[in-house]
Amino acid sequence: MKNSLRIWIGLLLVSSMLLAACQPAAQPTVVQEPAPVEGPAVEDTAAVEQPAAEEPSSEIVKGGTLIWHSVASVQFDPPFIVDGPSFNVASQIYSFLFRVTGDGTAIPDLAETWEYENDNKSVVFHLRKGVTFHDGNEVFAEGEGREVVASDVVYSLERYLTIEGGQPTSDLLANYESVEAVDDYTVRLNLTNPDALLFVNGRGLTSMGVLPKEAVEFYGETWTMHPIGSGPFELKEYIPDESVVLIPNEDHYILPNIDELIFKIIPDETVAAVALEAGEIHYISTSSTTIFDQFAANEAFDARIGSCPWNWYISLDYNSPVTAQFEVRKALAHALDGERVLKAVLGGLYVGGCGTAGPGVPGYDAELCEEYFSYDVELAEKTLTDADWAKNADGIWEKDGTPLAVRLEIWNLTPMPDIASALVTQLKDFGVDAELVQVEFGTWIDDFYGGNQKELMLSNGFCGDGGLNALWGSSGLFYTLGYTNEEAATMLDETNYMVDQDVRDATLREAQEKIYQDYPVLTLGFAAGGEILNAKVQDYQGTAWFLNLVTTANNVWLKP
Amino acid sequence: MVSISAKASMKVEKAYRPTSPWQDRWRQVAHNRMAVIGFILLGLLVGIAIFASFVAPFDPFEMDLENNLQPPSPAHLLGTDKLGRDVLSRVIYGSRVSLVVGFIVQGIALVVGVTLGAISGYFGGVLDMVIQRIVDVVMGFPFLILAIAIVSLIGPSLTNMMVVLGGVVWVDYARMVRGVVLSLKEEEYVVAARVVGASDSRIILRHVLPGTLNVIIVQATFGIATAILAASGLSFLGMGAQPPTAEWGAMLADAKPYLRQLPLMSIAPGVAIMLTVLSINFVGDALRDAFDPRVLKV
Repeated sequence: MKNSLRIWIGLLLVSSMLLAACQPAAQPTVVQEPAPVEGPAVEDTAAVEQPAAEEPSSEIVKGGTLIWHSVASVQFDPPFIVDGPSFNVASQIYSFLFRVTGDGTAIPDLAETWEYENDNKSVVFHLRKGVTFHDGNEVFAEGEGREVVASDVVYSLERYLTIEGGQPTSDLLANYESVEAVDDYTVRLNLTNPDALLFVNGRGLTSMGVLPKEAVEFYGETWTMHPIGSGPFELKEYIPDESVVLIPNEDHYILPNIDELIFKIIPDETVAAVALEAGEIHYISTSSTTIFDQFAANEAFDARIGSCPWNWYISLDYNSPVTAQFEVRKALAHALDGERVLKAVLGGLYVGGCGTAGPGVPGYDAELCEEYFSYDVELAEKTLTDADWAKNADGIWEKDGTPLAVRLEIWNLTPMPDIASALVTQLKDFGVDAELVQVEFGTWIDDFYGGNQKELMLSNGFCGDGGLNALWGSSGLFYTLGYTNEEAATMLDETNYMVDQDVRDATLREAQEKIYQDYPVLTLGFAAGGEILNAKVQDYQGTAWFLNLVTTANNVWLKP
Repeated sequence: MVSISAKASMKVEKAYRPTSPWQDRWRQVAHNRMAVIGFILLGLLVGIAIFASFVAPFDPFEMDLENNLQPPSPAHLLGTDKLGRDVLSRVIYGSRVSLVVGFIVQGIALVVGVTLGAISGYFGGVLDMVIQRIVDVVMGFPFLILAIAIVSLIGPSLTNMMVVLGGVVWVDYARMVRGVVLSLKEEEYVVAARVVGASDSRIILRHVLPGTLNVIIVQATFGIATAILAASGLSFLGMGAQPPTAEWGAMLADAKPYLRQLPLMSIAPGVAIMLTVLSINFVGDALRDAFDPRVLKV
C-alpha cells in the first residue's frame, strides 16, 4: 500500500509538470534599436546658465518609498568607487559640482554656474549658497549641518586625486595643476591643458563627491561606513548584501518628493525581475533581452533602452606566457565570433561595433571590426602555424610541447555565463584548451585589480566618451595592468585637451587603431542596457553615470 | 527407475537446498517490486550515460546561435537553450556527469570514512577520541553549507566539488562503521584470530570489515543519491560543473530566466534528477530491508 502510494504521488508530480510544459511559448516583442549616443560639446568660455525649470506638475504626489535594484554591495568613498551600483548610491548622498544627465548635458548642482578662463585651462565654479552637510550625526548635530564652502571642494578634490588606492579619472589626473578657493563660494580649477572630458559622464570631475574634512578625520578608517555628504539623501542604514536605506536631506535645496529611497541588493537578475513584477522593487537595469522583452509587453512597466552602449571585451594577461605572445592574441581574436554570440545572447540590446569607443562616441571606428576582429578561423589557424604552432593528437594547439591552454574568468551574473559558455565552446572548437572559471563579482574585481588575473578575463564596461583615455591613456587602467604603447598613450593624452571635435575624433581613432593592432584585448561588441521601471515612477530621466533622482532638472515621485 | 518415494525425497531435497545469507538477501531484493523498478530505471540511466554518444541526437556543445530558445520540435524534442544547444542531448550527457559525481564522491567518502571508522572502532583509546571529535565537528556543520564555503575558497570546478563533497560526507561512514566494528571486535572469531597472532591489519581487513559490508552497501546506495542532489545544487549555484559542461544542476540554473517561455528547459533536467534519485532510493530501500539486520523481517 505504502509503495503504491509512492508510485501514485510520483506519477502525479511528473504529470503536473508535463502539463505545465504544454503551455504555449511567449512571443518576443521587437526591441527598438537604441539611438546613437552623441558626445557632449565642450563648454565655451561663456558662463553656463541654469536651465529653465519646468513648471511643477499639479499632479505630483509627495511621499512613498522608492525601491531601487542594486546588484552588489556598495562602496561609499568617492575616490574608491569604480562601479555603477556604488555610484548610484553616491549620487544621492553627495553633492557634486555639477551632474550630467543621460544625454550628456551638464547641469548645476553644488555649482550654480561656471565658466572657462585662461584659454580653457582654468574653470571657475560659483557655488550655491546655503548648501549644508547632513546633520543629526556624530559630526554635525541636528540642525547644525555646516555650510558647504569652497574649501570643502578643494579638500575633496585634492583627496580624490591623491589618496592611496584611489581611482581618480585619468584625464583629470593627467591635466590637473592646482585648485584654489578664491573665496567661500568660488573655486578655481587650474589645468595644465584644457580638459575635453571634464564634463563627460564618468570622466573629469563627475566622480568627485564633496566631503566634509572633519567627518573624514573623525571617522578615520571607518569613514567609508559613515558617509556624510550634502546630497539630496542621507544614509539611514546600510546592511551589506541586503540593502542601503536613505532618507531625504531636509535641508537640501531641492527637497525630494519621496519619503525614503532603498537600494535593495539582489545579485541575481532573474530574481530581481521577479521582485519587480511582484511590486517589491520599482526599478531594475538588465542586460537580458528575455527580461527586457517580458516587461516591454506589460503596460504596468516602462521599459527603455539605455542611452549608453557599453563594450564587451576579453582582457588578456600580459604576464601570462601564453597570452603574452602576439600570435596567440591575434589568433584568438579571429577565432571568436563575438558578434554572433552577443546577438544571440543579448538580442535587441546588441548594437554592434568594436573597440573601446562605441557607436556615436568620439573615436568610434566602424572599420575596426572588419580589420582586426573579423571571425576568420582560417586566418587564426594560419597565424598560429606561421608561428610554429601545430595541433597535437588531441586537436589542441601546441608549441614546444606546451599546449595552448587558457582560463576565462567571469563573474557569475547573467548574461556572463551564457556569453562565456559560447566563447569557450568556440575556443575549444578552434583547438584551445579553454576552461571557464566563474567567481563572485567581488572576487573578479580583486583578481583583476590585484594581480591575480587569468589568461582571459571577460568584462563589460565603459560607455560613452572618454573610455579610450580611461583604459589606454598613460594613466589608464590597462597601463596599471602591464600594457604599454607610449605612442598611443601620448596621442590619447593629447586628445584630452583638443577642443576641436573633428581633430579629436580623428586622433582618437588613430590611437585606438594603434592599440588594437597589438590585440591587448579582444573586443566583442557593444550592447545597451535595458532600464525597466514600475509605471508608478514618474520624472525619471535615465541613467548614464549619475543616477539623477533629485536634480535641478527632475525630482522623481511615485504615482499612488 | 527411481521409486516414487525417492522422487519425493529428491523434491524435498531440492525445495530445502541450503542457500547462503547473501543469496537470501538478493532474493528478497529481487522480490521487491519497487527495487526492481529502481534497478531497471537505474540500469537505463547507466546505459544512457555509457552510450550517450549513440543515444543523443546532437553534440551537447554544438551551438546553433541563430536558432536559440526554440520550443520543442521534431528536430529538437525538448527544444534548444540560450545558445541553440539541443536540450535533450544535454540532459542525456548530463547523466554521465551526475552518475560519475555520485560514484566518485561516495568512493572518496567510503575509502576515507571506512578506514577511519574501522581504525577508530578497532583501536579505541586516544585514536578513537580524536577521530570521533573530528567527526563531531564536521557533522556539526550542515554539509552543503560547508561544501559551499570550501569550494568558494578553493575555486569552483567539478573536481574540487567532488573532492569537497567526499571530504564532507565521509563522516557518515566513519560513524556507522565504528559502531559495527565496536561490536564485531568482541566476536569470538576475531578474538581467536588475535590469539593465533594475526596482525591487526589482517584482522581488520579479513575478519572485521566484511561484517560491515551490510551497512556500507546501504549507506553507499543512499549516499550516491545524496551526492547527485548535492552536486546539482552546487552546480546550480555556479560552484560545481562549469559552463559549458552539460550537468543537470547547471542546466537548471541556465533555464531559470526562461521558466515562463520555455519551461521544458528546466523541467527536463529536473525530472532527470528526480528519476535518478528516486530509482536509487528505491534500490536503497530494498537493500536496507534486505541487508540491515536491525530491520524486522516478517
